[in-house]
Amino acid sequence: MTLSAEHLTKRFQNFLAVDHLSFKVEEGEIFGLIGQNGAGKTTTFRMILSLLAPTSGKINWRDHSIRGLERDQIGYLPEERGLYPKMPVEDQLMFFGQLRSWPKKVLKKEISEWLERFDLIEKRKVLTETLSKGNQQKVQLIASLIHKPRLLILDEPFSGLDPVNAGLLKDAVVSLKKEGTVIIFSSHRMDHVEELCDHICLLKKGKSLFSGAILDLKKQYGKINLTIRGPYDKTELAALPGVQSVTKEKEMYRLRLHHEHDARPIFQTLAKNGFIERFSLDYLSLEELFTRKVAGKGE
Amino acid sequence: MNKFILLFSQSYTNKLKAKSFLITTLIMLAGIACFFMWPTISSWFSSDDKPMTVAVSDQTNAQAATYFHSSKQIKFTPTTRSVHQEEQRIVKGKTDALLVLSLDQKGALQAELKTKNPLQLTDQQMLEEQTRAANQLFTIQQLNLSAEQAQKIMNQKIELHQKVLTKNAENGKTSGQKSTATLVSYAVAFIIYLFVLSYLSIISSEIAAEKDSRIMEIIISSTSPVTHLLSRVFGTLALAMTQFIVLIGGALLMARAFQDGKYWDMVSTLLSELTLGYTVFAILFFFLACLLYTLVGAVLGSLVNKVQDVGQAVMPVTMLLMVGFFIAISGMSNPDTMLIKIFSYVPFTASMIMPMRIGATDMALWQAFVSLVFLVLTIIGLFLFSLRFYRGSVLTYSNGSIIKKIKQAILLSK
Repeated sequence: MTLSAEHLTKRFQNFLAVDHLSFKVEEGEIFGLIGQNGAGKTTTFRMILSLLAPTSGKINWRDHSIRGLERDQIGYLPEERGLYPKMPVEDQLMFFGQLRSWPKKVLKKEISEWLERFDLIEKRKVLTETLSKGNQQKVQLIASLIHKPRLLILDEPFSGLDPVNAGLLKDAVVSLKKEGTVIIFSSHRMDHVEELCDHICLLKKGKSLFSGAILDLKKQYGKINLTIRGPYDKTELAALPGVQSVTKEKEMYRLRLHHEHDARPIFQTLAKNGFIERFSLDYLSLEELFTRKVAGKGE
Repeated sequence: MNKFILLFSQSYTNKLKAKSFLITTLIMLAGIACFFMWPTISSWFSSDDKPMTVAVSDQTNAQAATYFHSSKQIKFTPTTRSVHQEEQRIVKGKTDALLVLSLDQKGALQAELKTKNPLQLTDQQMLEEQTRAANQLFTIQQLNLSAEQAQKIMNQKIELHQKVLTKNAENGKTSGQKSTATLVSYAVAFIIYLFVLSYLSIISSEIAAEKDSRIMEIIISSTSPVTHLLSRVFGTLALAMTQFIVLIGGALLMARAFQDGKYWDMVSTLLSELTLGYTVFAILFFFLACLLYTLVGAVLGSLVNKVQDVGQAVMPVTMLLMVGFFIAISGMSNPDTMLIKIFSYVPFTASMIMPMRIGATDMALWQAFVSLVFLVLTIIGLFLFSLRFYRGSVLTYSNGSIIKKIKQAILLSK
């Protein structure tokens, strides 16, 4: 196991920020830490970064304490913009690279490549404060990974990015993953989490509600999202056995079932009326799972 | 060590290249240049000014008017016109003033000045000075002394040589040495005040900005908080020393260049009167004061959440600094008061006050040494204390008093 947390606990006086949190992340894997504000994500990150010492429990890197992992092997993107506003983009990246003990000469080449990749090459001499929020976020991301870290922590990396730039960022993260970097990130955007993460941990008030593969979480509830398009009536659909709720979205009906096995009898009933334009059965989206688990709805 | 050098040089060069630093230094240099060129500058403005014309109506029958000597500013002209005629001339603006000299019943000189408008302070003081000198000469003249005898009385000076009878005690300094040291110490206190005031806010703003923007978290995740703290303290100190050297160097160069080196001679005379002990202590106190307050600034900067809060956080320290400075000023007139003695041992004010005591009083040097030891111990203590919570304080974003934040930071640092 490359990175693992075992019964990680952090207590601030009477406040329990992280409560017996355990998870495992393999090399070349992306791990998502998901939770509402104040769930304990940043505290967990800070413990992984050795900025805070756990009250109890441990974090290991290759079966040894994380403290043994060289700091230069870690990359970190904090939630807020951590950049010097009055520093030109290139100098900024040079500083952060040197801070991770990379030589200037190598960094120069890397910086050019990354700026090119993120379409920032023309802004290299520009003061960081004059960049747009999205561009600053891109600079921040380059700063966190320019030294090719073995462990990369991204706290809300997609905030402030438009879909095009978010795509660029995702590509960069995926290519790092392929190179074997362990990546942990937190995000409020569940679509990004679902797309990128192999494993996730759902946090609520410091406690882990779920830790494992996204598919395993989905299987806990089964395929209970049913989408139907056809000449039906909402009340008619709601009266079907096993249907929990029905909502109409444009010409589509979205049914929430009690159980996955309720779908087959519904199909058979509707098929008696003739042609069904659409009948698709899906797992709950991560967004819905998050709301159920973390916000406590539907539990 | 490499990271310390990287952070140190980044802190130093960033601030050195900052426009605000360059502008402040240039303004200060311009200020120094103005000081040295003042006689020339003031002559530009005053060269067109006509001297004040004063008609002297001598009614003493003892030629008292001859004791009034004209200068650049005042031109005395003896008059034979009547007082009334002269008064008319004043009203018409032909003369600026009329000085009526007479004798009282005891034969003492009396002077009365008549003007159209009230006099300016400087003219008033100059006239009073002239009248006093004329009165002295007049009185001497009345005693029928020879010119030489009169000269002797006028230029007589006596120096009081002290001899201390207690064994082991040094003989007292001359009043000349003491006043030189007072003057230099005032300059030392002023420079400390000026430097500490600006660099205190520079370092606390720098650290608060790094904390506010979360750069701090990136930095301390790649190096230890102690390295960060020290790099910022020494980066700021290096900047202060750079500015100090530029200003002092600039001032010395200007002293040499302007007014045909008149000021240079004054400076060298001044410096030659200072003892080695004084100079060493003054430099040590200056350096340590900068170090102490920079450290305090760093700690305060790490405790606030936003750059805007820095001003409020450093306010008490600024007050402390002001107290020290004003006590140092009070020492200009009397450096032997109990207040000065007490505050010369308080580490936060010692740097501004102790140099004055060393130079301007006859205290033993061990006292200065004790004060210096206090100061060094305070710096070490503060450094060790700040290490205990610096890591925590840069991660604390809660509100509350500084004490509450320190407690929280210590808790986080564990």
